[in-house]
Amino acid sequence: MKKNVTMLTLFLGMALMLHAQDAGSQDAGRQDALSIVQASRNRINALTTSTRSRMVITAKDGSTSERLIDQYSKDGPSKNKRAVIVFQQPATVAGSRFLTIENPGKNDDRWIYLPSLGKVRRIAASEGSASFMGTDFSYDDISSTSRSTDLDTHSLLKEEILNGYACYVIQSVPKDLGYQYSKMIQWIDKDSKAALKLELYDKRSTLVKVAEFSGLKDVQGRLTPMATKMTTLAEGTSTIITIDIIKYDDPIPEGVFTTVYLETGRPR
Amino acid sequence: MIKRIYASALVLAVLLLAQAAGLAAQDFGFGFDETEPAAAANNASLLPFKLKIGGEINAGLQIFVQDLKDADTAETVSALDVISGKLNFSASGEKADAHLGLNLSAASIGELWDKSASLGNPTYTPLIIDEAYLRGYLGPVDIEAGLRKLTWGRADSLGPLDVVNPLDYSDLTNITDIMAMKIARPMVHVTWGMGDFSKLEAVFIPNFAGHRFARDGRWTPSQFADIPEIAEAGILGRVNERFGAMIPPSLLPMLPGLQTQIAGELLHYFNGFSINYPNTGTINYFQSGLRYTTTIGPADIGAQYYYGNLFRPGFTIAGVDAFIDDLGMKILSSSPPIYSDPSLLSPRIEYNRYHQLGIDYAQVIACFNIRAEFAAHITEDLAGDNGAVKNPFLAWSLGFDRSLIWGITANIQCNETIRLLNGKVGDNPVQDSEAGTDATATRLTMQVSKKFFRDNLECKITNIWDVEDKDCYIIPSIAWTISDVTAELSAGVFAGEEAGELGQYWKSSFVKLGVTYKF
Repeated sequence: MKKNVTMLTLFLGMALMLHAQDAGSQDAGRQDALSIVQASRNRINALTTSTRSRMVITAKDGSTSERLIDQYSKDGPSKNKRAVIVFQQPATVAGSRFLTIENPGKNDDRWIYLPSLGKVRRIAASEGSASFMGTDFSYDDISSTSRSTDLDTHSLLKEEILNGYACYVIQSVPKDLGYQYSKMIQWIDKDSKAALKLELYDKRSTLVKVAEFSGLKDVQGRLTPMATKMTTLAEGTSTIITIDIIKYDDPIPEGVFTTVYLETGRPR
Repeated sequence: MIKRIYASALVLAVLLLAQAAGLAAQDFGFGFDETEPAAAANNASLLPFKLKIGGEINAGLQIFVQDLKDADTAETVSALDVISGKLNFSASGEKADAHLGLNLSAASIGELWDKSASLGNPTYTPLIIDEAYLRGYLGPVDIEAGLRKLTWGRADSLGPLDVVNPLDYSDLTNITDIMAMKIARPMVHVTWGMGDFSKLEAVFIPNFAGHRFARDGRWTPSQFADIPEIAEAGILGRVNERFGAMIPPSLLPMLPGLQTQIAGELLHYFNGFSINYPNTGTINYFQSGLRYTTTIGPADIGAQYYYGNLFRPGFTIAGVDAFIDDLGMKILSSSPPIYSDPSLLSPRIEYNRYHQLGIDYAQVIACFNIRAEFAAHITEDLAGDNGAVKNPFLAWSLGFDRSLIWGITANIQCNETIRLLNGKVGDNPVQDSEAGTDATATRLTMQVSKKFFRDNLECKITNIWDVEDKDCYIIPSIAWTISDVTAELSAGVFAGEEAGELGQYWKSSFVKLGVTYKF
């Protein structure tokens, strides 16, 4: 089966590894950092992933705004990651559609359809650090589920207990100095290989964002974290993504992952 | 006739909306308003179709700075102008969509009862209709029919390939909202999906409408408002040119007085003259085009052919020499007082036919999101010496957007047209519509923006600069969005040469404050 992790639930994806059938819990402690991260990222096996999620964006003053999005992901013919996000609410962004296609070894292709423009528009990778549709997630965050483990250098910092789970604490340093973050530190549950927490550091090695995963639920035999909270520390803002519906292996037409679909919302 | 077409389009749209025939449009993913799997099942049985109603309500005021300075010429502010809105209906069946978008404002609703409005004109799209069309999905082919706005080309702001819809220039306060400026046209539009990232489009428009310009008020372009003066000056210039050889030297001393008299007669004639636009509502003015787009590696490319009419009309006067001959004969054969006969003059507005061949390209290179277009326009004046027909010309557009430091985004685009055979253009504006104009027209559009507070606050400044005209239009704005509500404070400043396309509106600089609720 193809591996597939929901794009927007990047960090959910890491957490989705809980209780994987192939998680060798007894041997995990002896694995090196790279193999732990690989095991974590490869945990979920699904042909496709479809989610309907509610995003609650909380401002510094505590005021909130909400967005409803659909997301479809499926590997391409060359095993590259592909995902489409469709904004359903609020009306200010409704009808906007976003497509990203991974190109191994090269920049991802990204397009967006905005009803106000009436056409599909390519998005530059340089916008990767920009906020994705006003959330605490950047475009890079959104696309980083497809980030190859080869792009970072991984090292095991320590082992510690987090929320009752015995975890590996692994630091990943991007080999590309131009990447948005200088390092990422994640807490991966020893037992299940699920990532429970992720810290993101800017180029000055300052902790800028923290992602936390919760609400684990068995979905079609896959233990799935139903909520992800991303906090931007300096700004005091956060975005919580709560999955209302998730379907694994639901058929998604190939035509969804095309610019033609972005225009009409109809796969051919 | 055209009313029946519009009515038919509306009826079809409303019928489809009412019937919402067919099954759910999407056989994967989630239905509309689905939040729980159980609810999804219920919705599937109760609502076997997808129906959406949306729109927006705008409330706001715009103040023209000059009106504050000069109460005598200030325009009336109507209470009804403060509020406007849009109402959109869309329904999706298994193999079809229908969309009806309505513009609701005092002007668009009032027009329906205004007997002097242009509704009887077969090419006129009523203000109230934003779009109204049906779209059928027939395997790899989509067919759209109705009043539609299309966007062709890659450029962000009106590149040369975006040729399908005319624009409404009767209010320049919303010039940055291209889709709002576009006028929906009756058309059949067919799209053939030729792969995941390739498609071939064909469009057919049975009649023609040019750009819409204000006929009176602050947004009336000087090119139209000054027609009497242009005509008078052009004809007198031609009179002087020809009389040198036509009139015996002994009669020349009477010319200055006669010129003054003729000038008065011409002005009187043209001021009372109603310019007749050609009837472009017939099939003779059809337009059609083909466009192919695809993605090759990291590049999006396209090519198109379009056969249409230039959206900007050309103004010339036929019969100038006959008018002068008649005048000369009277001078030679009659004794004063001598009167000219302006009825021999035939002013005409024409929309010239042209063929367009164009290509476009978009790619991200070194963090620059680049878009480019190039087009050749072949008119029916291949020799360049027909004053009633514009010369062939080339057009190109090159632009990019780029994230700068501190989250600032720059979007810059340059458009230029280059007239060919420029040496063949005449120098009298009544005999050659391009006389006295520059061979090139270059417009630079620069936009710098930054968002704050999770995109809730956006500060933006747009500068449209016409290089040859040496004028510009600067539009700063600040918009605050919370969920469905946006409050925006913006301004528009026209500056530069007053004879320029933008600079002529220097009295129309404005400040605008508004609130929009979208639903």
